[in-house]
Amino acid sequence: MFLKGFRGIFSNDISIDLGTANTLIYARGKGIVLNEPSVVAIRYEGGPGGNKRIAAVGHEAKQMLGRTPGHIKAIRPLKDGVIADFTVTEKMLQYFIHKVHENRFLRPSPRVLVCVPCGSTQVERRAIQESAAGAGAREVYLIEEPMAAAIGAGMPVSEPHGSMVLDIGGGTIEVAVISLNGVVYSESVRIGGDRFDESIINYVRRNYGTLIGEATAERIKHEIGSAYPANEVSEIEVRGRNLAEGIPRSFVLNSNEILEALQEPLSGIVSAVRTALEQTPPELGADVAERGMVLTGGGALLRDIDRLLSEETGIPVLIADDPLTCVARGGGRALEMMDDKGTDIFSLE
Amino acid sequence: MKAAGEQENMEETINSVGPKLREARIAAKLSVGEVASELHFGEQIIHQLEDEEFEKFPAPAFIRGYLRTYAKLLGLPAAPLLKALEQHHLHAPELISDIAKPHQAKSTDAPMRMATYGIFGGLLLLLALWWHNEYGISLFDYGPKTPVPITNNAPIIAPTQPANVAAPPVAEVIPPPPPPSTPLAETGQPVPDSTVVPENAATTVAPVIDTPQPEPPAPVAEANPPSPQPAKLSLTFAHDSWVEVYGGDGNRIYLDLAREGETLNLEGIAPLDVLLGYAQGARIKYNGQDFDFKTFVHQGVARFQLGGPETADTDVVPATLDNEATQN
Repeated sequence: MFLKGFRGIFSNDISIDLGTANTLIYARGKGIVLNEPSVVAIRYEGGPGGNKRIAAVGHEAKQMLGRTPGHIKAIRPLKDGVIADFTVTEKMLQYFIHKVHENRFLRPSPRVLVCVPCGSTQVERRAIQESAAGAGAREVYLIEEPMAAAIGAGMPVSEPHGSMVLDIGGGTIEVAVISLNGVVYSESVRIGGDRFDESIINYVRRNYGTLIGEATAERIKHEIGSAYPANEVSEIEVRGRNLAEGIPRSFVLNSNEILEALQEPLSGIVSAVRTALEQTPPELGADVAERGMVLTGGGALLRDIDRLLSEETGIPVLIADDPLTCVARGGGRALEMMDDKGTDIFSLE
Repeated sequence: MKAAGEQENMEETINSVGPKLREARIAAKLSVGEVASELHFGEQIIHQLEDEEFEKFPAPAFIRGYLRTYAKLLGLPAAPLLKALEQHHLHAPELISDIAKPHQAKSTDAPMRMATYGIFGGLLLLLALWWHNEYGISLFDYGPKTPVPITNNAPIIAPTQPANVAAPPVAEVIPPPPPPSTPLAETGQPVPDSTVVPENAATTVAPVIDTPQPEPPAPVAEANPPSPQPAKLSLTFAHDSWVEVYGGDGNRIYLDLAREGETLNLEGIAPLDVLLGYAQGARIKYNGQDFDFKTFVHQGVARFQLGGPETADTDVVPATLDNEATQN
């Protein structure tokens, strides 16, 4: 305990956005210091029952996804925003925490603030807490993702006005209405970037009889994915295994097809937002209608998603600056504020 | 040429966000109402943006969001407009806590860090001091002090033996016979002075008693004889025992473990402070006389003083020792 405290003197306080797709770390006084995919490659030594060792973490491991030999397995330890594999998550966190404290003589022991989905259960939260503590954290605080996202987006969360935020992550979307540093309404739906990829894979298999991998689906989404019909149609050439012939074939997809493919997850997001607006107390709802809703998270980068939501709900929809890092930056600001004002301002756990 | 034109254009955009937006809207033949309904903004927001009334917006995040969406509708690049917005020094809203809490001291605070370094520095210093006291002195000072006393199994009492009987200072310490010899009477006063120079005493006293030397006449005899001869202590051990002996001048005479069967002959300036770790196994002779220290033994350890100042006055050693024992 004492030793941890001593090591803590030489560690930076950090805020971690432990996402399904990417993990971001914000270090106090330094900004975003790490942005890597939440992927871990595990090497099995001496057969399936043998020792497990971490082969790679982050970018390196992501390149291995779907391209590994028998004795290496590239896995994503988080699913739908929560921990699916406790041990691997702990190892991954340990690696990331160490990475942001490199060239230090002592093993780092920072104070860590982890952002968790608001819909996560107590068991899931406990797992994240334990995992961060196991990775060497001196103290672990949890903050709900939409709160961190709103702070990171620069919304006036302390004011007695309603601020609505929609965080579209890899595994979940979080929609929340915030006022006076507290979450008035929040909902977490397990639709996210991963579901977009899955929908694209399913669409291509159904319509082209061709199987594509997750990485290809993600590339398609980034390049021509859109949420609202655009005036211009863009195209992309992709390769996949033709299911009938069993050999790789290349074919061309256009943005309208992808829009069609994404209809299901997008309608899920729209209905979550509608529900949120229904459930919001009228005063706060009026504030939201006047000021608009702010989009954060990687999903906010999907072309015209703001247009879609704006058309469907009739309220202004704005995209935050640098939406990918909002949650981590917001967590960092919350940490700084905790130092000034005490730990119980955001009803942290 | 084209590049220069672009540069100018950029400059223009940087200087004015609102006019640029209005210009673009008019060029696109859109009214404020049309823009507002297209973007689902209030008309007021469009007016505020075009008139650059940024202070009326709730937070910079909203201004940037509105600007980005509006620029996208008009087909303008958003980046230069956002950059221009930075000139207006819009800061993110302050996070204000509704629960006023006093500042909590954290380990990351500068004073806390300094205090921690200070405590560690202090601890290290204390450790160093302890080390020096514990080992430093005994390592460096032990050498010069020990050679004086250690004379194992070889009693070198012979030359000083007569002095015990005849010499005045020694005679004072011996309990039973207070010999009223003539030198004592003569040199009663200068005793305290002469205690400082014990070595001279041994050499000078002997001649005075033995033979009246012609060369150093009366004055010399008066000055030197009173100086006390070093007290002699003989310790015989039947068992192993720890021994510490300190002289009257505060110097350590002996500090070591005496082995079984060993005999120590020590001499030093009275009074001698003696500590025996295992008193049962020791016998003591002080100035040739057996000394019974049984009264000072407490839980096997004996601590006592031999030839203290009181003894010098009263000339009765056991009496003083008894007094000390009762005091202890």
